[in-house]
Order: sequence, then C-alpha cells, then structure tokens
Amino acid sequence: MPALFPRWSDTAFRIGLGAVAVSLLVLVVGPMIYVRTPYITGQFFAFDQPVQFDHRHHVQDDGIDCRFCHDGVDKGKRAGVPPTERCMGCHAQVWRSSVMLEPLRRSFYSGQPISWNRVHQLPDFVYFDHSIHVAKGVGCASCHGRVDEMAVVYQSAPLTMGWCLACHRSPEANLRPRAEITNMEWRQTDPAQGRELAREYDVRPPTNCTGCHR
Amino acid sequence: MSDERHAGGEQDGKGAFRRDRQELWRRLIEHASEAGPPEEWEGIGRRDFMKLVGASVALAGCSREPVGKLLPYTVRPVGVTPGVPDHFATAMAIDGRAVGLIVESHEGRPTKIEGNPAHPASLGAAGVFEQAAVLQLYDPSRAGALRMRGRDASWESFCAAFSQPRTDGGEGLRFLLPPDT
Ligand code: HEC
Ligand code: HEC
Ligand code: HEC
Ligand code: HEC
Ligand code: HEC
Repeated sequence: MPALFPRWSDTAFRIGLGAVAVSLLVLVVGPMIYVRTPYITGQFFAFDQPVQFDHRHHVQDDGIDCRFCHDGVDKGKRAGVPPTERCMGCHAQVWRSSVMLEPLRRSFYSGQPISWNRVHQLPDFVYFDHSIHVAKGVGCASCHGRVDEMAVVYQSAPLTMGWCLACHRSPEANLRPRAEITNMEWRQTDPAQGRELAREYDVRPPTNCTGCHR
Repeated sequence: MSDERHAGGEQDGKGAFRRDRQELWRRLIEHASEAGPPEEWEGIGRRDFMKLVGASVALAGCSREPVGKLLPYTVRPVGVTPGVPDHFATAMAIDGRAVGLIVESHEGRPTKIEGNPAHPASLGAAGVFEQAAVLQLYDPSRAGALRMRGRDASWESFCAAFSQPRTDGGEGLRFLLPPDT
C-alpha cells in the first residue's frame, strides 16, 4: 500500500506546530513589549505649552533654584507649578513687553490660570509623594533627567512600575546629600558614599504593593 | 426635637405633597411601559453585541493616556501650598447643640468633615449629618445661578415675578430651608 502522506508531511506538521507556538508567544509578549514602549509610557514626548517656557534660560543662565518655582516639592505630594504672580515678580521688569509673555500677562490681569500640559502623569491608583524622596536624598535629576538642558520638558524616565521598583530595591546609587537635591550636575564619586547616606538618612523604600497602591 | 428633621413633606396640609409624589411616579411608570425599549436596541443581536464588546476591550488597551493639565493659581492665597491639605477647626449646630468639627480643605475646597478630638462631647466622632454637611459647604453640582423652570434666569425676572401682590393667596408657593435652631 502506498503511503497516505508524502515524506515531507511530518516536517510540514512540525513547522506548522512551531508557527502556532510562536504566534501564541507573540500574541502574549507583543502587547507586553508594546505597553513599555515610549509611545505608551509617554517618554521623550515634547508637548506644546501655552507659554514657551525654557528651563535652560531660567535654571542655567539665571541660576534660579528648582524650589523657587516648584516650591511644593519638599512640602507635600506635588511639586507644583508656580503661580502667575511669581513669574510676574521678574517679568514685570525683565522682558516686560515681549510677545512671548503675552499669555502670562493675560493670565495675571484676567485671573485665568495658565493651562500647562502635564508632562509627567501617574495613574490615579498610584500613590506618589515628592517630599519623602527629596527628604531622603533623591535628587530631581535622578527621576527627571537634565531639565536644565531641556528647551521643552520631556519625561526622561519611563515611570513604569518596574522603574520605581528598581530604585526602591537598591536606592544607594541614587542618593545624594540633601544640599545637592536640585543640583543637576552632581554625581556620586564612589558607591561607599551611597551606602553611607542610606545609613545616615535611614532609607527604607517600600517594595510591598500597599506602599504605592493604597 | 429631632423628629422635625425627618417629618418633611407629610406636615403640609393633608399630605398633599405625598399625593403629588405618588401621582408623579404613577405617570412616570405609565409612560415608561407605553414607550417600550428604545428602537435601536432591537437591531443589535447577541453576536453584534459580542463583537462590539470585543472591539472596545481591544481598543481600550491601545490608546494613550489623555493629556492632563497643570493649573497653577494666578495669585496664590497666603498659607496655601497646593497639594497639602489644610485643616480648620469649626463648629456646627445640630438640634440646638454645637458640635466641634475639623474640616479638611484642599486648595479652598472642603472635602471631609471629622469630629474634633479636643471637643468634650464628641471626642472626635462625627455622625451622618456632620459628614454630609460637607456638601452644604461646597458642592460643584449646586446651581450657581437663579433658575426658572429648569433654565438659567436673571434676578430681574425673579423680581418681576415676585414684586406684584399675589392674587392666589400663596398657592403653590414653597420655601425649602435648612433646619433652624
Ligand atoms: C522660573 C521658574 C522655574 C524654575 C526655576 C524651574 N521650573 Fe520646572 N517648570 C516651570 C514651569 C512654568 C513648568 C510648566 C511648563 C513646562 O512644562 O515647561 C515647569 C515644568 C517642569 C517639569 C514638568 C512638569 C510636568 O508637567 O510634568 C519638571 C519635571 C520640572 N519643571 C523640573 C524642574 C527642575 C528639576 C528644576 C530645577 C533644575 C526646575 N524645574 C526649575 C517653572 C520652573
Ligand atoms: C528670577 C526671575 C525670573 C522668574 C521668576 C521668571 N523668569 Fe522668565 N525670564 C527671566 C529672565 C532674566 C529672562 C531672559 C532670559 C535670557 O534671555 O537668558 C526670562 C525669559 C523668559 C521667556 C523668554 C524666552 C526665553 O526663555 O528666553 C519666557 C517665555 C519666560 N521667561 C517665561 C517665564 C515664566 C512662564 C515664568 C514663571 C513660571 C518665568 N518666566 C519666571 C527671569 C525670570
Ligand atoms: C523619585 C522620583 C522623583 C523625584 C526625585 C522628583 N520627581 Fe518630580 N515627579 C515624579 C513623578 C513620578 C511625577 C508625576 C507625579 C504624578 O503624576 O502624580 C513628578 C511630577 C513632577 C512635576 C509636575 C507637577 C506635579 O507636582 O505633579 C514637577 C514640576 C516636578 N515633578 C518637579 C520636580 C522637582 C523640581 C524635583 C526635585 C526637587 C523632583 N520633581 C523630584 C518623580 C520624581
Ligand atoms: C531614584 C530612586 C527612586 C525612584 C525612581 C522612586 N523612588 Fe520612591 N522612594 C525612594 C526613596 C529613597 C524613598 C524613601 C524611603 C524611606 O522612607 O526611607 C522612597 C519612598 C517612597 C514611598 C514611601 C512614601 C511614604 O510616605 O511612606 C512611596 C509611596 C514611593 N517612594 C513611591 C514611588 C513611586 C510610585 C515611584 C515611581 C513613580 C518611585 N517611588 C520611584 C526612591 C525612589
Ligand atoms: C514603588 C511603587 C510600586 C510598588 C511597590 C508596586 N507598584 Fe504596582 N504600579 C506602580 C506604578 C508607578 C504603576 C503604573 C505603571 C504605569 O503607568 O505604567 C503600577 C501599576 C500597577 C498595575 C497596573 C498594571 C499596569 O502596568 O498598568 C498593577 C496590576 C500593579 N501595579 C500591581 C502591583 C502589585 C501586585 C504590587 C506588589 C507586588 C505592586 N504593584 C507594587 C508602582 C508600584
């Protein structure tokens, strides 16, 4: 009796099985990779802002400390954006007739807030607090990158759960003396310094779920 | 004393308010059963329904978060740090007694009322009326302007309607007031 199936049918069957397995894997792993791409996490995305505010000029050229404008950062959850009156504190004098500052003046005299687009945004089910991080020696640059070199602020870290946890599991490399919190150029010179600071500030970040999902 | 608060409508005349309400319900139910389910629903079978559910679940995972806004003050009130709630000690009159309370306020909006632990009568406890009073202080869905038959109206139209002497002897006129002490 002749064979019902030709010789190569076994091979074809194996290749078919393999293809099914691979496509199942792609179906599962594909979305997992996709949600971690910058497209979804919002990393490196530059927003248009109502005023072309430039951190390079204010931080680098004028040497203004981050906390002068983001003054909630060491007091509570939110770093916050400065009220219009604080911008006007300087801009009633400098660049006072510039067209770039027209929305600023309109806001100040009409009482309507400037509506900035949020660059960093965690989902509502995540609890995050700036003040504890700042108090324990985590600098702005560790999470926000070199803001002083950004013409337009973008999100430099993915802000995924894995990213938070990576630091919470071993924070030592990201610690600095409290006096250097807003310093954009400060670097740890040797790892012993991080361990020393962790002991001094008694750093114990939460890694249990309820630490961040309350 | 406390009964007054619950008595409400039954007290006016001979239960007229209650009868009005029953009438309203009867008419609503009648209307609903006459009309039947909306037309479009009948066009969607089980399969179409499953397709739509599937598609919306699939799409839900693909979209980016909408862009949020940061709205700073133009002039920040003294003593306010955005993101850090304030707590104010205050008191509220219930049944003729004052209850000591602490109100949590976020950027000027009260969000939670609790008892004042330092108050000897409540020792920090607060009942339903105290808790619910937060909506009396601030309620974003409260009417912000005068309304007449469901439409925004002006004070001029109010004055026009109420400045002449009434001929009906006050028929249909109702005042809704909070319980008074
Ligand atoms: C002169 C005031 C000023 C100073 C100083 C300043 N900022 Fe800002 N910052 C702003 C304003 C206004 C915005 C909102 C507009 C924007 O996003 O560009 C902002 C936005 C940001 C954002 C993005 C916020 C968001 O939408 O998620 C970050 C992060 C930030 N600043 C970090 C810093 C850091 C770090 C420093 C110090 C190196 C600093 N800023 C110094 C005014 C200031
Ligand atoms: C401490 C003073 C000071 C404060 C506060 C300040 N600015 Fe400025 N700003 C300056 C100076 C100085 C310049 C000119 C910078 C330059 O050309 O180097 C400037 C320039 C600008 C310009 C022109 C474009 C540019 O970057 O050169 C814009 C727009 C601007 N500021 C917006 C703002 C806004 C919005 C705020 C409030 C969040 C603000 N500034 C707060 C001092 C200040
Ligand atoms: C541990 C990481 C971390 C550090 C350190 C940190 N930030 Fe942030 N920052 C975040 C995250 C995460 C958000 C988004 C918060 C949200 O969506 O609730 C954010 C949001 C912001 C915003 C937007 C407004 C707001 O308050 O939500 C500003 C402005 C800001 N940070 C400035 C700063 C400055 C200035 C410093 C340094 C003094 C700093 N941050 C340090 C992680 C950090
Ligand atoms: C660069 C390091 C670093 C990153 C990134 C980081 N954290 Fe932390 N986190 C810390 C340190 C350090 C502490 C302080 C621990 C302590 O209290 O000793 C902390 C503390 C916390 C706490 C405890 C606050 C409290 O009140 O108990 C929470 C919640 C938290 N982080 C949330 C987050 C979230 C959410 C993210 C990601 C968006 C994040 N952190 C990213 C270093 C980091
Ligand atoms: C250090 C803070 C932190 C801790 C601890 C933490 N999470 Fe998260 N979690 C986050 C952040 C931030 C996000 C938002 C990630 C994003 O938007 O991409 C998140 C998102 C999630 C999500 C939503 C899925 C997603 O990716 O959008 C789930 C589910 C979750 N966490 C479960 C857990 C569980 C279970 C634990 C305990 C094992 C835990 N988390 C511990 C910070 C934390």
